[in-house]
Amino acid sequence: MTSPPRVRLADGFLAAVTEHLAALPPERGGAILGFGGTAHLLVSDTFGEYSPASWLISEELSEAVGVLEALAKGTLMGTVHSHPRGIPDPSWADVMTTAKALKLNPHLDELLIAIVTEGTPREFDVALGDRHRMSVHVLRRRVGMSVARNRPVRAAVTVHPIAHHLGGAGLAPDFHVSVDEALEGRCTPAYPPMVRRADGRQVLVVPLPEDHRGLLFVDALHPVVSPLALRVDSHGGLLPQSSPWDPTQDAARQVQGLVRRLRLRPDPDQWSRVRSLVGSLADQRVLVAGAGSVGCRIAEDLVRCGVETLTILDPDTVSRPNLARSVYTSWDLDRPKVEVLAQRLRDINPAADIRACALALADADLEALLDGVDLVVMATDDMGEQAHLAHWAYARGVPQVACAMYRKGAAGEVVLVVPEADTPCWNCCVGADSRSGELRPDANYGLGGRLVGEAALGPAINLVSSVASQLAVGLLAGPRSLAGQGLGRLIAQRRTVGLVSTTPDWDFFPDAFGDLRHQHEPQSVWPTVEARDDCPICGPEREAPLSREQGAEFVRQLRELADAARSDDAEAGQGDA
Amino acid sequence: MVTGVVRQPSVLPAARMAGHTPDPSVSEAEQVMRLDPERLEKWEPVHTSVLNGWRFQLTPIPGGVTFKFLAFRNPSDGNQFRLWVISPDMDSETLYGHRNHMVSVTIGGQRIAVLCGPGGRAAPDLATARTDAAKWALYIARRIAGQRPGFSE
Repeated sequence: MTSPPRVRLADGFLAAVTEHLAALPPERGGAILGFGGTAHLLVSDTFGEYSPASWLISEELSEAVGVLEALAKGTLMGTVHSHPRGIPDPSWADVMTTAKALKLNPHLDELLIAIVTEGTPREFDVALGDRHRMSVHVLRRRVGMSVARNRPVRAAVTVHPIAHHLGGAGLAPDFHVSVDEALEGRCTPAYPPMVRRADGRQVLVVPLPEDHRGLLFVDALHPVVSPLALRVDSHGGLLPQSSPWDPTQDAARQVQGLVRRLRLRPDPDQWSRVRSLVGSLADQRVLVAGAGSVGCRIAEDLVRCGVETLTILDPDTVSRPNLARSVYTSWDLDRPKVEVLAQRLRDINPAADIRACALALADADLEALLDGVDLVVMATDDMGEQAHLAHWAYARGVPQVACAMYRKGAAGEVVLVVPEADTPCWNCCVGADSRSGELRPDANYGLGGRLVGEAALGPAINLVSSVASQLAVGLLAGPRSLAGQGLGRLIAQRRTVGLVSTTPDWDFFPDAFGDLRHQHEPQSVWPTVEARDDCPICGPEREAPLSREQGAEFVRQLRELADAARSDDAEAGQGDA
Repeated sequence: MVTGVVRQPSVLPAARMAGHTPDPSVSEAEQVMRLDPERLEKWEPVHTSVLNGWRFQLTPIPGGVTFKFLAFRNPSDGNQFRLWVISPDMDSETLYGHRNHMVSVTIGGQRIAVLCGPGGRAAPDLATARTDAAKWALYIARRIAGQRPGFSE
């Protein structure tokens, strides 16, 4: 015995049949439109001629099917109509009419004949409400076989829970349209939903009703194949949103998550436990330089506290050692850190405007990056580049929070710089002539001076990063907020470098704490920092940071200097070594 | 009767003004004279239109390679000195090529390989810059001569 053919029906189509056919006395009928082999749309024949035992398909239904196909609402898959009680399968007339339809549609290989009757579902039947059932039959085109001998085959039905899952997310696309609506031009792009081709597959396009700034592409094989969430940008372009879709998990909950991500405004309740401490940080703009184990934590803290405009800058991709102590996962390996982190931050707050720049600082246009920025977080592994950024930020009056780990993660430093309050600049605190250089990991000469990837535990990094996050949030929230009120004293006393130990008896801490009892790590010391009198960044006679044009000119002049010297060497008889 | 001093009209020198690029100062010149009283290292000030500094040369092994350096002030490093190797050009060398033993700093968005002190430090004065340069030059010169440097190995 051969197994029956399988037919896929959307649950929304079944609901439409229940409401618009089964609820009325037989006979009633309509056309079935589908996408990707799944029947989803009932076109009820409001012009059909009906009797208790017959349905004469109207010309208007045929015309409406053409209109709907032209509007990309689906393609014809067959017909559905109700029968009097006790006749659950197609009649000879039903088969002959369908065979005729196949002849008229040479592009179709088969058509469905669905019969709705009152009664208990038999094997393969689908229940429609409490009192009705529907059997589905497939009439295939058979070359060389007479119409009279061609018999339809009963099909087993698979129901795809599209309406159920979308409804749980607050979306209610229509799975029914009447002939009048189709012919009177009452269809819109969203009513009924359109079908389009995406990546070689037909998908149902379901827009978010409230602002039309988001779409879901629902696959014909939903939920086995993930829906695709897309945001509509200001130019009408579609921005696909990545999805951690897992077909083994609750699909309805995952659809809700996708729709939440598409909605432009998060639920205000998201901030209910931080607003009293920080107020609203939605208007604050932050640049985070460095998306390593320190930068990714601080960026996440900022977004969780309500920052909605963030630019992340880092040239690196995620590698295996990153998994031990950052927010990245094995899914992210070899992808640019900034892209992965940006997506993670958007998952936390779908309304956040996160800009990912996979660039080194030296390759970035700092002037443009700092435009309108309220805070710079500096967490790079290249102190040369960081010095340049710090100079630019100070010259622009942009506050900075910097964070770096010391060797083995035994301690770390956080630096607070507020140009408006004339605090010492980053360079005076921990720059090129400070002891910090000896405490940080070695510069990696082979990588042009970036710090080597130092052994350190994630919890130790998180401890120091959290202190930096507190400073950053406090600065953004302002001195009148509960989060920011403690910073005023630090700034006034110029205690703008925090040394945070993550291990007991670190460096000079035993001397600093003496015999003070009950001490253990973590500990912190916030010494007073003296700015250098002749500092060109924060001193009385300040110098502007060098522009890219000046840098290029300097390199050109260095080359000239080298050429002249080598020419002299050649004359003196000393060539290249 | 009118008394007073007859004087010439005031004039300004036709010289360069550049408050943001500190010229080599008198104190630096005095320091140079102390560092190289015999003028063996040929210290001389260098002006570029962007940054200024001092050029000097060291010959760590008598009769061996002479290394020429530029110590320039970088404003983003608080005007500390950074050391750039003018000659010889060994960037193509893999064993003791410059880049393998240097860090980079960013000057106006341009990465420039420089010598540094411990922990990537810039040099606060010319004496420190000379010390950093001398150590590096001796290390490279010994390796070129096929000797073990005896330090930083």
